[in-house]
Amino acid sequence: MAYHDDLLQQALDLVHKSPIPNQADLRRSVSTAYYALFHLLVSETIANWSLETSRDALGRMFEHSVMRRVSGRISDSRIFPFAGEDPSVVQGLKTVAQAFTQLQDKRHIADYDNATFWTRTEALREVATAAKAFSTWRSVKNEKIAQDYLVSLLIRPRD
Amino acid sequence: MVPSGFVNQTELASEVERAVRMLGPEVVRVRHSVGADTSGEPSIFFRIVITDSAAGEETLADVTGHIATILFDELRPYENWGLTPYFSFRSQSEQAMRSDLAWS
Repeated sequence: MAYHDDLLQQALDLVHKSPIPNQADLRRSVSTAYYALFHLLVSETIANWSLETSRDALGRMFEHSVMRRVSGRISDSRIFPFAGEDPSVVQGLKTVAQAFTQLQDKRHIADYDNATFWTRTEALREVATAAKAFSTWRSVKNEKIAQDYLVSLLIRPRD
Repeated sequence: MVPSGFVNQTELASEVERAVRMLGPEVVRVRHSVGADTSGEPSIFFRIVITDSAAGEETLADVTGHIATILFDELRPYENWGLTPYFSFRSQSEQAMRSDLAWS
């Protein structure tokens, strides 16, 4: 399995580890779910680079903050009206982008905010969000707007 | 893109209330707050308590996705308010054990 698939499985394993999970397992499951999606999107982008030996270096160029801003913009129909596009493909892409935005914020909270108490439902929902993003991505990945999204993840938006 | 500026909290609350009325019986309670997310962007945070049956693992993804979609489509947080939406869910039993005020 690819690294991102292993991370998603690890997130699932953590959230299911115990009938009464502890905060460490729940918080790590959320964090791992985010990194699973992060690495999926990085992997999908660099796969388009024809020179295989350069892909890892290209993969290191992604910035979490840029990816979040780009993903947020996808959901704003004022910026991306996606006129003339297949609505189901647009919705699929937005599902992935919104999942990324949500998961990044949750990852930050899970990793650093000791004041937040995580319930199993909350953590499970985040892991399920990542899993849904994975399956949705598979259905839209070959569409132009999805490939354009991947490229844009490397480009800092100019507001 | 510049956010839509200061948010009229009363107007937003009224719109949230309207959107919440579109939700099904699996939703016990919805609370919201406005603030900055972890990257500093203006955001709206939804805290949603759902029934224990809706929180079952088999249906959780579909149920929570459906709830988030309704709130997203009704409120259009990006377009109408310049806010990034975030959704958090708890089951009724979990909230009963915690009694966190922010979710009450």
